Amino acid sequence: MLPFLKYEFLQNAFLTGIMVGLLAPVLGVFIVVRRQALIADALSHITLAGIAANLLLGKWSSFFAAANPIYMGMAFSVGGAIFIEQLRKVYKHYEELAIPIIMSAGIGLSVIFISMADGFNTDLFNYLFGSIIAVKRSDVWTVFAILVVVLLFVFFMYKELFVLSFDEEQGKLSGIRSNWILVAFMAITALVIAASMKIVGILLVSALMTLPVAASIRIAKGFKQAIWLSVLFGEISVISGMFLSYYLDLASGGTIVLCLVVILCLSIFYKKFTGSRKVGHL
Amino acid sequence: MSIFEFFQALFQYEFLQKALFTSVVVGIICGIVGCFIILRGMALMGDAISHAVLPGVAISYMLGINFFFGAVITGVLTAIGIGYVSQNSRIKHDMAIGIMFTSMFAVGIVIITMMKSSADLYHILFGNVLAVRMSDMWITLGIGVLVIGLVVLFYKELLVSTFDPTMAQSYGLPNKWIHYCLMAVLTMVTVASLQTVGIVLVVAMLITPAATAYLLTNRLSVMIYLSALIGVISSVFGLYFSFTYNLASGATIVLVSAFLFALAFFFSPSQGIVWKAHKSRKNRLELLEK
Amino acid sequence: MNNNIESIAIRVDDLSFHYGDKNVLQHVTMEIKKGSFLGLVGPNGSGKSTLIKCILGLQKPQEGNVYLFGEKVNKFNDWDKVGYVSQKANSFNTAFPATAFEVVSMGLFGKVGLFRFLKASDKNKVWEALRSVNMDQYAHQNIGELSGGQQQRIFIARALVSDPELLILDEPTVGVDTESSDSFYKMLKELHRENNMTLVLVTHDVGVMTNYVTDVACLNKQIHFHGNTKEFEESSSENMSAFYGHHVHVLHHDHGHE
Ligand SMILES: Nc1ncnc2c1ncn2[C@@H]1O[C@H](COP(=O)(O)OP(=O)(O)OP(=O)(O)O)[C@@H](O)[C@H]1O
Ligand SMILES: [Mg+2]
Repeated sequence: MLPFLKYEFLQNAFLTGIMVGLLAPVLGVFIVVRRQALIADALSHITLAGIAANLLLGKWSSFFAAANPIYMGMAFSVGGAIFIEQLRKVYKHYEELAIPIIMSAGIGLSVIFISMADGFNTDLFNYLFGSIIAVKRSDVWTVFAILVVVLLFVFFMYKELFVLSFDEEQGKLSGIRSNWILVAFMAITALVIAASMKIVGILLVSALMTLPVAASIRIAKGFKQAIWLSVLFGEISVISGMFLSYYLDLASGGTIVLCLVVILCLSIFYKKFTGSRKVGHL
Repeated sequence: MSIFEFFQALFQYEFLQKALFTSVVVGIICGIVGCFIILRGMALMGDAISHAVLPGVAISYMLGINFFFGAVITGVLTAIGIGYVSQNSRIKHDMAIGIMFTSMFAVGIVIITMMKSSADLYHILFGNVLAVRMSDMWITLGIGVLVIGLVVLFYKELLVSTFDPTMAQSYGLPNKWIHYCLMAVLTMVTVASLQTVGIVLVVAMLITPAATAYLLTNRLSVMIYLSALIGVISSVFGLYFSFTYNLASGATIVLVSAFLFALAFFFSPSQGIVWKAHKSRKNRLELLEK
Repeated sequence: MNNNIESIAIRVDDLSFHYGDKNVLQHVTMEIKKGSFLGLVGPNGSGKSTLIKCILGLQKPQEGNVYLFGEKVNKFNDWDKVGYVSQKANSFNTAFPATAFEVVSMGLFGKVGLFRFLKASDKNKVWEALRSVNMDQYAHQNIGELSGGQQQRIFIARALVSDPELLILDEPTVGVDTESSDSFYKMLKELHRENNMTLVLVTHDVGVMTNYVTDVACLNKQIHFHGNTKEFEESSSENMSAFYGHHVHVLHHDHGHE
């Protein structure tokens, strides 16, 4: 076995990383084609507020002190997802303005919760930028549970998600009840964001969802291929990013995203040199 | 602590005076520039530029120079990069923005973790207006005067090119040039706001007061004044809460402005959701009566 | 003629619609018989697309009702009986990574149902639909890499793939070259004649259209005319100019006439 894997914390990080590298791009494909990257970003900021709230509550209540803050993060994130999806539906016109505001309110709240708890500590640092040494065994199991839920959802709802992403009108005409599927999708996205947080950090989660997809849709033929390629790119960058992060002692979120950027640049050049194919705008 | 005590403290402590002065200036210029940002549909761009200055700031810290220089250079480079990518590679604008800004931000984070000083990092990210130095205050003031001067001088051009870019083109206005100038201004405003609200929250300072004003009026001139006013109110109250309860200043300022936005969103007489619901209910009732 | 419920495909009953304060449709009432081929015409902004959307239940009218095959549209469930090509069909996100084949197969999703997958027989249907619009050789191209007219054909194939009894097309030949649009109209006529399909076609191509359709309706907020093609042609010149508000030459293109 690799020397890299002899410590338990590294095993944890590695397992979580592999799962997250699969999850984030799979959902990212749907998010990118629906142009909702901003929403993913907003959700990650709201997740942070949940985590911070837990840290604060932990000061007063032993129940919260013992709990893994990731659960509170998920609760906030799912709540935020449902709220945003409703907002989107009812006030289409204001979406673009309201979301960045919700997002910054989320981070404003988290900063306040944290400074009320015990000031800034390294814990927060890990949540912000990701860290491979902070992943616990219980995190691995949580992420595994999320993995199962998400894969089942995407597998059985593939058709529906595909139509709804392509055009909602056709979805309605196929008799798909778009409302609850979209809400469920947002809720699941929220879970994945919370799951990815430990490895890539809040501020860069949305990059792990969107950059592999941005690279893959330049090359892929068809939707399924786009999904597989995104997953491949996601895994490559998560794994190599974690190695770099470990050996160079840097925040893992930063190194993972830099790997993604390299892949994206390669895909752009690949396209430039191989294809004269017509490429659409995204 | 009451407002009164806050004023007493204000007379007593020089650092508080500096903090208040700086955040008021920041509130004004963010409010003004924010109006153009949201009317031109560049909210995302504001977000991108503000995050993208991180590597510049980090490098300046490492070299021990004023972060103003590093930030302006990286900010302008990013704006040009986004323009270049979206014009030359058929990647659409919002995607180009997302790509550029996450990459720059990731570079910044890597550099900062190399520095191994999380205290500085938090100040860069979330702001600490109570630690404003004299030189920062002068830089902020300088930027403020410059930005306001530019807006006053080029108000007509900005107005036309914001509302009707094609018409502006036919008048012979250099749209592209105006765009890049605005980007440069945006970068400077970001830098000016760094101390007060921090990188992560600059975009909130830019968008929230302007969006609030947008809900309240349809006229650009009124919107600019309102937005600046809302920016100032948020700064003053935010600073008050920050000082009183010992909280991060950026967060309190942003939360106050988010609160004002929520008020306008629900209760604005022309656009507010509560009124709208009320009105449409009344309409329906009238229809039923007929 | 037989006029009972059975023979009516679409019934629009005193329908009014407005976007906010803007009145778009006023008291529209019409019946479209099964097996008819209706051309719906009207100037830009006259509410044609809106009427279609109300018929399909994609927009909820503030007043009035729509019945599809005798069933109120919000209770209607047999969506695979209905094919629709929207006016903005090819204004989708062109970087969307879906092949032509994948796009066409969407038309079957209503039939296939929740939690199930496409079977081999479904895939054959997709191929058949692609062949019928002459696009089978492009099946594995990404949709964004096709030309506008080719994309339009793919969307037509998507509407056809579930063998609908009712096909609604909102300006389907915009961006399609004359030759293809002629063969397209012929294909519609064939579908209409051989499969006894009910067709509703929105178009500005008044001259060409009258060569193919059996009925014509003129819409401008209200229905100004609804009758068969012959009546329409007899009254057309004075009607049309009054209707469009300026003089219109109704050209009769004779090509394509059998
Ligand atoms: N989403 C919308 N919101 C507000 N108004 C709308 C909307 N869609 C259409 N309208 C308005 O409703 C009116 C009817 O539009 P509609 O698209 O039904 O016209 P149309 O007859 O299909 O025109 P065209 O020939 O150009 O396709 C137009 O005046 C248009 O401005
Ligand atoms: Mg139309």
